Amino acid sequence: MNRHAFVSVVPDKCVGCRVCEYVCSMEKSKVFNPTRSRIRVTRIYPHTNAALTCRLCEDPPCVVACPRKALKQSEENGVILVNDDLCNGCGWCIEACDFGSICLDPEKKVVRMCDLCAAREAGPACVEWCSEEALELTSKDVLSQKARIEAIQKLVKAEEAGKSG
Amino acid sequence: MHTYTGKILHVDLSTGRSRTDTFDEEFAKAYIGGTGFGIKTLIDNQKPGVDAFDPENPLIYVVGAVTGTMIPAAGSKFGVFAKSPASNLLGEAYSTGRWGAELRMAGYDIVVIKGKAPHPVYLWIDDESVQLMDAKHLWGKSTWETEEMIRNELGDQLIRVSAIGPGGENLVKVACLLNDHFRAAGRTGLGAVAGSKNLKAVAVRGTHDVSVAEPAKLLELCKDLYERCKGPATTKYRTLGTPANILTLNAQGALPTRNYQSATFEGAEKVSGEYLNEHFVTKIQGCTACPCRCEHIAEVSEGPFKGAIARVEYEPTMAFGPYCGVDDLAAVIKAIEYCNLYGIDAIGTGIIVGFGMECYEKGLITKGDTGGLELKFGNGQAMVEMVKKIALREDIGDVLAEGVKGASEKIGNGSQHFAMQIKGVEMTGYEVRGLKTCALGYAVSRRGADHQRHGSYTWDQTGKVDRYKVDSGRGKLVMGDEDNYCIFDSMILCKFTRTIWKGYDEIAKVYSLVTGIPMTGAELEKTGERISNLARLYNVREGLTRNGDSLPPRVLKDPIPSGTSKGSFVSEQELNTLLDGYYDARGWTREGVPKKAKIEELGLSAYAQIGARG
Amino acid sequence: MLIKIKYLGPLALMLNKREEELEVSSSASIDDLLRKLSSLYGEEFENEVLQDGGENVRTGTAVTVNGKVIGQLDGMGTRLKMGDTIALLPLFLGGG
Repeated sequence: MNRHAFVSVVPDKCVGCRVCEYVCSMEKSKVFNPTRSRIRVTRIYPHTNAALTCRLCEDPPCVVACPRKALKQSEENGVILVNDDLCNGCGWCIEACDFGSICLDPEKKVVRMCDLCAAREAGPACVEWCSEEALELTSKDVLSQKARIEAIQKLVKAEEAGKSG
Repeated sequence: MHTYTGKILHVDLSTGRSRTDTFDEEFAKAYIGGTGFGIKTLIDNQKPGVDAFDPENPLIYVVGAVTGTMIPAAGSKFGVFAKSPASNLLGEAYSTGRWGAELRMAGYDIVVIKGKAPHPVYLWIDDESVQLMDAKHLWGKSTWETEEMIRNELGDQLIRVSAIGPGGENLVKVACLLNDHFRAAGRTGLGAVAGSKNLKAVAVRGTHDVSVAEPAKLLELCKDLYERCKGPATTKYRTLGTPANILTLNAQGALPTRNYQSATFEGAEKVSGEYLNEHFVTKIQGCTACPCRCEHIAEVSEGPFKGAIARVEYEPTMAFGPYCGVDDLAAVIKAIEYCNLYGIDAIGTGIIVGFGMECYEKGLITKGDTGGLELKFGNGQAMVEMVKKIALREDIGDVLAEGVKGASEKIGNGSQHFAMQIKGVEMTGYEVRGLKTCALGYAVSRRGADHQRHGSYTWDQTGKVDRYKVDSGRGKLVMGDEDNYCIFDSMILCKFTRTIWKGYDEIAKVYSLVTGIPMTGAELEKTGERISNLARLYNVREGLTRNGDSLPPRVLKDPIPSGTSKGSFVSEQELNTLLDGYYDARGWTREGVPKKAKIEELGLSAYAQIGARG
Repeated sequence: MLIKIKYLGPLALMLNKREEELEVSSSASIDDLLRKLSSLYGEEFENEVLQDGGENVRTGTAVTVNGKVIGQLDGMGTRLKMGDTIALLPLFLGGG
């Protein structure tokens, strides 16, 4: 699970342009409609921007919350799978998700979340289109590696500054 | 039709009623969207000669042909139209951010708001639901507060709000409509039109699909367009942003300084884009579906203006910097912030304050008038305070709130000579005394003094023509620029991406891929000409004559005193040469009235009675 | 001969300098100068300043010699003199 890839944002790089929302809705529903997008941008003025989508939680709250057991986490890649026959669009999972990453299909009244563009050869459309390269397909393992490297680099810089200063 | 909703929402604030009308493919193709839709709707829905503050003056919101799609830099653009209280002619302004796409998704391409509400209201469009909500508690609030309060009371943080501030409520002639914090339909005083209707805001939330005719081909073209947007065509917008124009224009002796008294500013370095980015810019963010991202957000971290935050572009920097003789960017940012919060156009207000400063220095107004402010060129603190006074109509702010034209008429004493306005609309950031093709563009611009309806300074700046001389051929150049920009303003495409487009053919291709309506480059070019002519017919109907296509007295009489452009100005004779050449190119009479042949050629026969006889 | 070059806007950012002095031949033209600068500073610089395979100055950039834009002199063939100041200016479409 630690190494399952998901789409994560680097908030400093995100400029809130929402191209990811547009390509996601186009990829999945062949229309432009951010409310159908499985990745959603939040802008908090004056200038905080971040795009969020499903993070493939361990012991996903959405799966736990579903009263009809319509959701299941794939063993293979950690993606949440929806059984359209069981889902009745109650939205309990939408509330349970800590990241607001689940949306409701307005026609079928079943829930939808990021499936990593499984049907797409080049992988997630949002990652490909982001002009700022703020989105990456990464994993918890890689993210924690990055955090450790950054932390040590800061430490080394501080030490060197201390020596010369 | 794809993308177009085909729906027009009519709202009557007097009766509280609304109804929906439709338009067809023929209408869509003839006018495209944006400015085409706006001008057509205005001329057809406004009784000739109506006063701008009359309830009968329709306030019109329009989206562009490709609004709501991911065409680069076009995602959320929209336009606002009405009869302008500043010019009593065409009022026209554009904004972007997130509002435009939301209106299309709600299901409307055009909204026509007439009447006057008996008490303050805001219009709340929630997909099919259209309501007028009580706004008494919002009256007097800033634009930002208004947006926040509406979102909170309606319980939805994704509602987009286009709002007026106290400026619009007080019928300030440069009042604007602000949305998404940092974007504004700024010019020609449309915020005052809303204020006159007791309309505090238009809030919208839309969840419908925006479909396109050929998704796969469109995506393919977008890939290419997005790549172009990351190249040299847009580097300057993405890095330093438009404020870098300060040093360019200063180097070319074309930077309006101290109320247009000179064309170079000794403090230019300190208010340059370079300085801004180094000391004040904290983030560069983007409009909807734009790969360029060029919104430079600047913050003041210390000093008397600590905490001020604004999106900073060239024009407001010019207007509050060199134009007021101020070389302190912190004061500039604070002034822009006040304009945003109070809902008055940053460009126009800066020009008004500059005018006020010249009046003060000449002794035409005194400290008694300014409420104790030492309103001299270079005094950033006084400049900032005066912005508030104008929005709130305090002290001399009440006179200045009428715009430089109205203010100079009241103040008299020769102040009309240096009231920098055309058709009652304040000048903008190009020293036209030394950019003569641009001067023509300003003189004939349909919404008053404006650089955005033509962009003809390019000819002058690149030296493709002699910027210090005129000839009758300039008219054709300006006409081409205007018609081209009509298309940009109808689709609506961001002009920062102007040079990524490979001409009318490519834009026509995009139009067809998006809407499914066949369009050629030649048809598009003709449409641009049609819209330009329709705008002229509207203005002529409302009383525009050749006299209105003019330049401010200072431009016609005072030579630039120093610098690269020393000695340059536009003489009356030169102006006449320019105008004659332009009218001839346009197929208008020498009085500036479209001739019958031109009207018929463009399919505007319905308006023939406004045009010239024979 | 020695001439001075001024860089504004994104070019100054790119090169990390606002101006410099350069040796050019006594018969150098603007065309020669821009080609020399392109070979010095590479493709990114060339793309910002030139177009049409190096034939013309890019739309969106203006080149001036002692304050006069080259379009009003001899274009790319404008001859340089000792002590001339050449400026490369970014042009903007709007900005408010």
